[in-house]
Amino acid sequence: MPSPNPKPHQDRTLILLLFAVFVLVSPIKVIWAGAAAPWYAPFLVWAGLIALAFWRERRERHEV
Amino acid sequence: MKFELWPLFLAGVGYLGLLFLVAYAAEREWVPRALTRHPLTYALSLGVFATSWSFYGSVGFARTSGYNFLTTYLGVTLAFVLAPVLLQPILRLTREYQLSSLADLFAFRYRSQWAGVLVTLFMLAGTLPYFALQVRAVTESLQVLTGESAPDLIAFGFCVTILVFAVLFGARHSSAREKHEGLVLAIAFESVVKLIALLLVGLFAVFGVFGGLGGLEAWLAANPQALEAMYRPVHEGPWATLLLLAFAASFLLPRQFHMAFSENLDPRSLARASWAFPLFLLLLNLAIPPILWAGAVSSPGLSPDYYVLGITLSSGSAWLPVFTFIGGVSAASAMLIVASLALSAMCMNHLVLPASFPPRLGPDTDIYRWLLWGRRVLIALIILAGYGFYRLLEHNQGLVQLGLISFVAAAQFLPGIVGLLYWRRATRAGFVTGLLAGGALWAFALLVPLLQRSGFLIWDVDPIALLGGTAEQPWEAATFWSLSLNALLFVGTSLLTRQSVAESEAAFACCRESLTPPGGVLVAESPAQIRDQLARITGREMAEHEVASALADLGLAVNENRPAALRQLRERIERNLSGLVGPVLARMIVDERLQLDPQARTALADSIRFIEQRLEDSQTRLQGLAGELDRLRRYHRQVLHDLPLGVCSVGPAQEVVSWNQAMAQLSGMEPALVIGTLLDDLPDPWAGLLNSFQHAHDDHLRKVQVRLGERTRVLSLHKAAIEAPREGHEEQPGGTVILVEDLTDLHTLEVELAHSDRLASIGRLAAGVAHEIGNPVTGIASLAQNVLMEPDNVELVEESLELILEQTRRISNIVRSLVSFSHGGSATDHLPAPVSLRVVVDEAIRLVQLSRAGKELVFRNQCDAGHEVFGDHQRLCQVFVNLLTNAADGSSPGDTVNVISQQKNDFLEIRVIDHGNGIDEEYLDRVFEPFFTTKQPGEGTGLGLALVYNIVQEHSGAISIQSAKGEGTRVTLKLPCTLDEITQGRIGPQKNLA
Repeated sequence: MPSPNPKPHQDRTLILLLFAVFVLVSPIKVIWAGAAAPWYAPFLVWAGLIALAFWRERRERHEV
Repeated sequence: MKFELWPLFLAGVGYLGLLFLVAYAAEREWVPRALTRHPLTYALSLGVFATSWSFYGSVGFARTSGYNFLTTYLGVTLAFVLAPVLLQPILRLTREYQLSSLADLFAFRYRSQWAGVLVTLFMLAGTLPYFALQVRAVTESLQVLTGESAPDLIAFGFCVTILVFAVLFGARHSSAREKHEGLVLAIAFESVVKLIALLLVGLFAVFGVFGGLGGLEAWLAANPQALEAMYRPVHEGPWATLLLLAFAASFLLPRQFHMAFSENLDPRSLARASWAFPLFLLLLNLAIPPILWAGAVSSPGLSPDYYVLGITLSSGSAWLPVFTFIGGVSAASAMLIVASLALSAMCMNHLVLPASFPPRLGPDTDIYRWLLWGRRVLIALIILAGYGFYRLLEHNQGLVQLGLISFVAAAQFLPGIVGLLYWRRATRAGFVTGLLAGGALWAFALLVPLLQRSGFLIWDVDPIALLGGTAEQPWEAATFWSLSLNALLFVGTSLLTRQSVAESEAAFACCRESLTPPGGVLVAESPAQIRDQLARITGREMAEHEVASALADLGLAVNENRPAALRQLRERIERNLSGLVGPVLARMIVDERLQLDPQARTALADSIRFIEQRLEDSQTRLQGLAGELDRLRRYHRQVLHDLPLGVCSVGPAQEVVSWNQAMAQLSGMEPALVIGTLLDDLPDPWAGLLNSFQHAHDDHLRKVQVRLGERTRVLSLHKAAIEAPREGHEEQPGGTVILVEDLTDLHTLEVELAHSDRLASIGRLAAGVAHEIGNPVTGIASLAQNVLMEPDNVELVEESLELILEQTRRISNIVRSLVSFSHGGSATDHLPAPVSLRVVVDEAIRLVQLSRAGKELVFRNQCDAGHEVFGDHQRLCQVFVNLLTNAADGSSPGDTVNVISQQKNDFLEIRVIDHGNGIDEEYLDRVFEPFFTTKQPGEGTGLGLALVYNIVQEHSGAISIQSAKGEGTRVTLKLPCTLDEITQGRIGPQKNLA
């Protein structure tokens, strides 16, 4: 019987980090920091990251 | 609107008084512990990150660098996103090894006092500009509200108030290993105040200045350059560099490290903080852009650094500016308090203690008190040094410029941290070289210009220009060059140098990959000896306290003497001392006074404990084949643990390696207390029993009676050598596994069964008994009548009386034999003793001859009078009664039954030979089975030979039967002559049926 992935928390952290780097450092910045973006756009991106971190923490708390 | 200076100052002091009250209430537990220890309280306490820079300076930073100001907090978010793989391992190390600061952490990993000293000095230099920033922010905020310069006394008074708070609530214990719940709650309270104040100002900016969100949008539409000025620097400015700096600062700045790791009350709180702390920062910064634009509208003449305060002056309300001022005081005071505590711990462990450790003090020095006051003095000196730096640098640079100097300093520890957590090959030389180079470049690029501008240093060189940077953003070039050089030297020097053994051990401990147990056995043999050894360097009081504390932590007894437990105690003392005097001194003390014998072989129990603990605490869960093997290991361990048979394994050094639950129940000793103990040190009777059995020739010891507490138990022991498997050329340790079987209940049943069998035998003999007793009674009656008839015939009377006495003796013999044969008694009454074979066979013949069949046979006892066996008289008698009864039942009247004994080495061979009907060959294999009988129903129970087999086996003997139909039967017994033969069981049971 194949065992479930024993390191899901690390996988989630890695995915979250890659997503954060992609959003914050890559050229995709032009979308949320473009001239047409509303003044609160950076805060929305930031809140999205926090929501993902919240989701990860909830999952891990329930898995323990 | 203008305010008076002193009421504002008093409001600030009053606010700090409120902080005292909050901290005091938490310390006295007036505040529920659920609140003090709540994960959100912890997350809010991390808000110490948001200082005057965030509260005031962010607006100015946004003005010059647009949304780049958010990098300071997005970097923190990135670090907390990585909490499971970055922050949790650091937290685990700080908790496990009682490391109270970053300097402790590096000194522990790189096993170097110099690493600790360097980190401390660098942190001091990097943080003092930040101290100056806080003091300046408070005095300048006063200036904004009052419209006049604040006197120096205000700044000094503010510093002294902070100093008193830090001493009272941050240094309540001599050791940095103690947590300060009051401080944590007070800092969390400060974060709430900062957040509310800034949100209120933000709301005022939107609704008070712009008339609502619609008004703000309209203003932005009318002034597109304002939004463009915010977004443009994101694409052009040093976005990535600032992210990196904030990432490093979020956990490497002294105040962050202190709150995140040293004051952490529950490791699970860090997981919750991974989103809660960034959320706090987001809410805090949400107000910054509206405040910036509102400031540009309402207070164009003011420095953007103080727009937060400036726009509130136009609100027409008196309480909003004051509350905002309090928020600023809150931001500054939290940083000053926590940073001074963190730096004082570092200075104590890495500057003061190595230079003046207590042996240089008087012998009567109370070290704990000395440490406590030492820390307090250091806190005072650090805060006053910060004030001095403020005086030196005042009005010299923007708030953010000063803060970034500290950020770049903190970033110099990134290579070291990466090495600490993920690169075992990193060496002390690499770390020190990299840090020295990076630190020197940092000082050259950022500190020197600061001193030049303050007029403190006159040097006609522009460091930033030399590095290719600009005066507006000097940190970009400074970060690139200092960090690159630092990382390059760190990696290069590490690859070129070798680690010491201690450093390698620490590297393994940090990376959690070591499966090699620490070598050597402690020379001291008891906690008392450890205490005496420690007392020589720390003084008796401290030694007693530390040993008692370590014993309590581990749950060990004061008379503990297991080598593995003493080794654990040494580790625990080192860790506890680390929290008190730092890891380097702690290591020095235990290495000097609690020496290990490197030649001594590490006990197998110690190795197993170490490896199991490593596997249990494995930083990364095992996966794939390793995970499956670990599950298999756990399964096998659980099988052994739950086996309903006592299992005790003994290592090559004669220490107990495993002791399962059944052994714990039997002995009343828990595995945790026994494992690691030398076999000789076990309490009686286990030491003698297991030790002698382990060295005995035979692998089995059957039905030995052992007194355990109030009960005597019957145990059977079995052992097997654990083969030493070879792996490559290295021989692995072996040992012995001993199984202990509790047969007390079974033995009791067997004794009762044997007793029943004897009673059944007596029942069968009843007719014969009546006859045997009846005949002499009749004779006695006749003789008595003769005496009555001729009382004067003296000769007849004497002869009759003698005959009467003889008949009486005959009756007595019969009765005594019956009583002796039939009495029950407990399982423990039958203690082995030398038994004359001839006597016991005679007695059996007498009993059998009471039966009708027995009476008609001729029994010949040909046993040698000198032949003795070691055993239980009654049970051996039962053996012969059963054998002779069987012989009698199968023989014809007049047949002869012979019992012959013969000495053969250390045992006697006894043959019971009859010439009766014999046994069918097909039944021979089954005659020892219980309830098997060839007799008619009602004539036999089928238990006779089964009991004979059992009794002979208990005597470590053997029995065999040879029989041929119509020719008779020969039963051969082999019984040991001596106790030694019994205990070693050399004959062994046989069911040799020929």
